[in-house]
Amino acid sequence: MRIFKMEMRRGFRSLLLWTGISGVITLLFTLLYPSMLNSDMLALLNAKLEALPQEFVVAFHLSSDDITQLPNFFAYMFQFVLMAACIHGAMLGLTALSKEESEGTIEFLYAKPVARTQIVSGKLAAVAVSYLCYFAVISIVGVISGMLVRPEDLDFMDMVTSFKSVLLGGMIAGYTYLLLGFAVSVLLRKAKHAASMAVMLFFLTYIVGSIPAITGVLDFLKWVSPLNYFTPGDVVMDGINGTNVLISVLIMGASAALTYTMYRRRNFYV
Amino acid sequence: MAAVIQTQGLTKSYGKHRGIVDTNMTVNEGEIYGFIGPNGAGKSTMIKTLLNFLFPTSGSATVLGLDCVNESRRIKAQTAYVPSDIHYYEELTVGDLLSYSDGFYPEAEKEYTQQLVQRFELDTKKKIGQLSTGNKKKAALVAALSCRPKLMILDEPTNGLDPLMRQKLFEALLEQREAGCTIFLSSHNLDEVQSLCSRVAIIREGRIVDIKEIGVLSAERAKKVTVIGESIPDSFENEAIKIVSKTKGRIAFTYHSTDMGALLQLLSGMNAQDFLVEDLKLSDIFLAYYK
Repeated sequence: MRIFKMEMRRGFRSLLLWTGISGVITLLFTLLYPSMLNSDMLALLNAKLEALPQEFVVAFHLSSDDITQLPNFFAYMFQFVLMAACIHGAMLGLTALSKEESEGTIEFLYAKPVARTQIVSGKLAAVAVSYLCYFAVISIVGVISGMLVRPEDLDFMDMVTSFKSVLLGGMIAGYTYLLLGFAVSVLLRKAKHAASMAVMLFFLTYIVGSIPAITGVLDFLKWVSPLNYFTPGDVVMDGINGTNVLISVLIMGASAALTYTMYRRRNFYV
Repeated sequence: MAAVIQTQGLTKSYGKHRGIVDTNMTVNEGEIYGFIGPNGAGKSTMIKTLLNFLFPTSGSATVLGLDCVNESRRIKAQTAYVPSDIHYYEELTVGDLLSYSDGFYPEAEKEYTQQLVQRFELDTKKKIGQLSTGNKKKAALVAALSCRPKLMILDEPTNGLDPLMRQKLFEALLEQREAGCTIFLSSHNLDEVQSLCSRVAIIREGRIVDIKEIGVLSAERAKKVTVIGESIPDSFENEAIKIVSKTKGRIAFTYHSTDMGALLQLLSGMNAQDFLVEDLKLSDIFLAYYK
């Protein structure tokens, strides 16, 4: 509990910053919805999308189908927020263990009567709660901004249900990146590369995971990207797929188990 | 007397690089044990292996009768460690850091910590990041002493401290020893080791090359003699006299005998312009290990 509290305290500023930026982006994007109901705006967007290479459109899920519907629009714009959220998740995971070693403070902490598993548990709990707070704020901002632009013919509960699926799916994808980053962080000695590694981890899996959609072959590669399990456009149409949830949970469990195992045998070169 | 630290063939290597090699050492309960050696000799590797920051490559070690790998948490519940370079949470105040540190030890008392804060003249409201090297070291020492440890492992504890604080630290360490605490002291300051420690181990290139009892060294009453003069003889070595250095017009030698009359006779026959006779210090004896 002591380590958890300290980690929450140390990560508070970063949490505020990421939550603030992601919340504002969610709000501004959602507030753009009324302008999408304008046929000129929609025509302009379609013209721009047609000018892009088809592979690019597919890779970044840029199809503008049905975005005159608020849930579809929310899913469309939220995929960009979700990219930032997944990178943030990966960064939280990547820095959780490596930061302490990079700054040398592990020498203070590990000289105390704590087991290595306690260190991992305390830090994992802290980043998990921090990420939950982050997603809770984004979700609240998303719902409130949706309320502000909700057309009269859309039932409030229907809107919330659609948003909930998109947000919940996104959160599971984000947690998957967080746990993957957590496992990788055991191998890092310096946290200074965490940001670039988080971006690399996200885009590498994202691009490799997009290969089947772009090329129509190597279908199995779609499983490489945890984001593909909960693509907002698919989730808003079909709901959250139980198998994909199970696979995500398995990846998270395996990453956590790997972290505990590796950290217990790690040499601290302080 | 119970062994507080015991290593048996303890070895730690970093791939092809040597850390410590086949080290055997016993530190007894209630003693202040010095651990000296040149930079890169393996002092920190030894400490970090004892504290399980590093896993041994081979051999074993017990601390307070507990295995240093499998029972590390129990060891640390009774052990305080002060590192050479202090890397603490820079955004915390000294007060918050001490409170965080004390929280790990059920026997730590706020009042006792406060006494130590006053003794070492620490400003608890200052952030760690704002402290000088010496003040960071003081914060580390207070954090270490406040948990009332059975064993203290100190790596260059006086590094960065002014002479007054150094004196206060020595007093505190001697009090700890009186209270039954064992102290393992790694240091470059050989005079400091000589004045505090009962025994000293010398590590060089990862191996413990010698272990000396300070009491025995003092009992020998060896002297270091420096003679300055134009025509000093340089061939007077015998069993009691070892020449340490020789330059033009200056010669230094150690004198291992209690027969001061013989020494005066030797000096009077040297046609010396000046001479200095002083107690042989640990630094004079062990400087050779640093070369």
